[in-house]
Amino acid sequence: MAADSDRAAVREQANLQSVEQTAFRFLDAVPVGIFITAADGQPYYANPEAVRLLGRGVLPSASPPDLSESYQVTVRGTDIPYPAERSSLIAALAGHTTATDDAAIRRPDGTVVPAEIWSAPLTGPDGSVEFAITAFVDVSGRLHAEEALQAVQEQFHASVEVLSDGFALFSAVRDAGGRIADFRYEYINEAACRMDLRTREETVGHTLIELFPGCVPAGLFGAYAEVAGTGEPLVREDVDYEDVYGGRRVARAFDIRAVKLSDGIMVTWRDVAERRQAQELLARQAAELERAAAELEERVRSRTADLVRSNQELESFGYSVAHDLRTPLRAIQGYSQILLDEHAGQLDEDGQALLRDVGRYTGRMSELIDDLLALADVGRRDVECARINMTALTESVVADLRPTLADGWRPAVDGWPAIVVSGLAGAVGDPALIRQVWANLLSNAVKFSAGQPFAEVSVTSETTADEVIYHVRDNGVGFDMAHAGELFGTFHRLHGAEFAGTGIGLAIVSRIVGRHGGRVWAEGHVNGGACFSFALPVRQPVSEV
Amino acid sequence: MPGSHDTEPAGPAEILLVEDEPSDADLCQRALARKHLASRITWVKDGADALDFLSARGQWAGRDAADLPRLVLLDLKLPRVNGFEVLRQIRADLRLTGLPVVVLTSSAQEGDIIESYQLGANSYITKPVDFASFQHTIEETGLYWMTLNQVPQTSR
Repeated sequence: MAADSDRAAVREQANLQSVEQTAFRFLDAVPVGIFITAADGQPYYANPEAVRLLGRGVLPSASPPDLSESYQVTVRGTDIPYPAERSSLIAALAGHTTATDDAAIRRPDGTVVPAEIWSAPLTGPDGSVEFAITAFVDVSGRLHAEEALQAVQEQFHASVEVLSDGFALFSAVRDAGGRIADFRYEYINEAACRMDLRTREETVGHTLIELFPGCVPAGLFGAYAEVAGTGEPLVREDVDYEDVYGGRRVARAFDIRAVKLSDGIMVTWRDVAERRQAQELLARQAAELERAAAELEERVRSRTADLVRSNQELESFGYSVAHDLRTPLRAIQGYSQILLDEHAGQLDEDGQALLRDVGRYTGRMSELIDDLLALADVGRRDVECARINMTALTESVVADLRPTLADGWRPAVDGWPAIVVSGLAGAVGDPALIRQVWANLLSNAVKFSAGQPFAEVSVTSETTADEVIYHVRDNGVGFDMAHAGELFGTFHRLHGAEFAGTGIGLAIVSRIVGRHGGRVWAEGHVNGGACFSFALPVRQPVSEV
Repeated sequence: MPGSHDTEPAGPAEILLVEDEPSDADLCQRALARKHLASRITWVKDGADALDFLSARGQWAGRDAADLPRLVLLDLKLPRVNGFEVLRQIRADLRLTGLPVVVLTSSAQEGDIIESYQLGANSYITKPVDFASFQHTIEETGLYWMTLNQVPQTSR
C-alpha cells in the first residue's frame, strides 16, 4: 500500500514534473517575456524571450528589492533605477496584480528596450503567494508608431493652425433612418474660431445646426450633406451668408470648400468681405479715375473748341479787317491818282511829289493787305491732298515768275539767276497750296540772288523713310543765322527797302507746310547764300491728280 | 452827286449802279465817265432802292417802268435787301429776265461766285484793290456790256 502510495506519489511527482515541464515548454514558446520568481523573490524561471529582452539569463543572486538594479530596469527615458515601490513584480509578491508601462530595460550590450510589464501572484492552496509571474513585452514598435502618429498629428495641427482660412472637421450625425441630420464639430482651427466668434471649447462637440442654424435655409447644410453622401467635393465662391455672430446678426460672404472625410466632412472657408471691399474700392477708384479722365478729356475738348473758335474768330476778324481796309484804301489811292491826273496844274512840285508818295504807300499797303488775306486764306481753306508731280509744278512756277521778275524785281546790274530744277521726288499735298510755297520760296531766292555775279538758284529733293525734303538754294545775299528763327514769322524782314516784300511770304510758306504736317527751316550766311527747306510727310493721297 | 460831272444831256438811265460805298460808287462813275458812259448812270445805295427803281415804285414811282437800263452793276453786301435777293427778284420777274446783271463786289469767295451764277448773274467781277486796276476793270466792263454786248430788243 505504502509502496503503492509511494509509487503513486512518485508517479504523482513525475506527473507534476511532467506538467511543469510541459508548462515550461509552452511558456518557452510564448513571444512574451515570462519571468517567474519564487515567493522569496528568487528567480525560478525565465523563458527565452525574457532572456532575449533582458539580455542576460536568470541571476541567482538577484532578489528584491534589488531586482531593478540587478536587471537594469530604469524609469523609461532616464537612468534612474525603477523604484521598488512601483515595481509590479514586488507588488505581485505582495499579492497584487499590476501593470506598468513606464519602464525600460538596459541590456548589457547598451541597447535599451522599452517594456510594458505585468505581474501577478500565483497562490498556493492556502492562499499564500507561492510564485510571482511577470510578463513583459518590447513596446519600442508601439512607441515608434505612437511617435509617428504624434508627429503626423503635430504636422496636421501646425498646417491647419497656420491657415488664415477657417478649417473644421465634422462627423456626420445620423438619424434613426441613417440619414444625415446634422454635423458635429470634431476639430476647428484658430482662424475659424476668430471668424465664428466662438472658442474651440464652445464649438467642438457641438453641432453645426446648433451653432449656425442659418446654414439650413442658406442651403449650406444640404450641400454639406451631399458632400458626405456622394463624396463629390464642394467649391463655392462668394457665398452670401447671414447668421448670428457674437450675439449680433451679421451678413457675410465666404468662399467655401468641402470634401468627404470618413463619415463626415472637412470644410475650409474664407471670409471674402475684405476682398469684396478691396474690389469695390478698386471699382470705385477705377470709376473715379474714368470720370476724372472723361472730365479732363471734356475740358481739353472744350478748351480746344474754345481755342479753335477764338482762332477762327481772330482769323475771320483779321480777314474782315483786311478786307474792309481795301475800300478806303482804294479811295485814297484813286483820289490821289485823280488829283495827279486831272489837277496836277494846281499843285507845285512838292505837292505832286507828296501825292506820288501817297500813291506809293497806299500801293504798299494794298500789297500788305493782299498778303494778309492770302495768309488768312491758308488757315481758312481745307487742305485737299493729291499726289503732286513736283518737277512739273516747280517748272510751271518758274515760268510764271519770269515776267514778274522782268517787270519789277530784276535789278539793273545783272541778269537772271539761273534756276536749276533737278528731277524732284513727288509728294502728297494740296497742289494749289504747295504751288504757293514754291512761288514764295523761288521768288525769294530769285529776289535775294539776282544782281549777284553768276547768280544761281537750285532746287533739289531727297527722300527719307517718312519725309520728302525739298531744298531751294541760292548764292545770294543770305542772312545771319542768328535771325533764322524769326524768318518764318509774320512781317519779319531781314532786309531793308532795297528788297521789295511785305515779310509775309515765308509766314505763308510755314503755315501751308504746317497744315500738311510738315516742317520748314533755313540755313544761310551773310553774303553766303541761303538754303530754304521744307519737308512733307510721306502719306497716301486722298485723290489722284 | 451821281451824274453831276457829266456835260452830256440826261437821257434814259442805261446803267444802274447798286453800291452802298460812296467812294466806290464815285470812282466807278469817274471811270465810266472817262469812256463817256457816265451820263446814263443811275446810282442807288441799297437793294430795296434798286428793286424800286426797276419796278418804278417808291421814290421812283414817276418813272416809266418799261424804261429798263441796259446794265445793272450789282454789289452783294448791301443794306436792307442784299445783292443775292435783288438778283433773285430780278430773275423772278418775267419783265426782267433778259436784263444783264454784273456782280461787282470785293468778295472773291467761291461760295459767293457760285450762288451769284445760280441766281442768274451774267458776270462776276471782283473789285481790284489797286486803283489803277480798278479803273481799268470798270472801264472795260462798261465798254463791253454797253457797246459789244447784244440784248434782244423785246427785253427793253
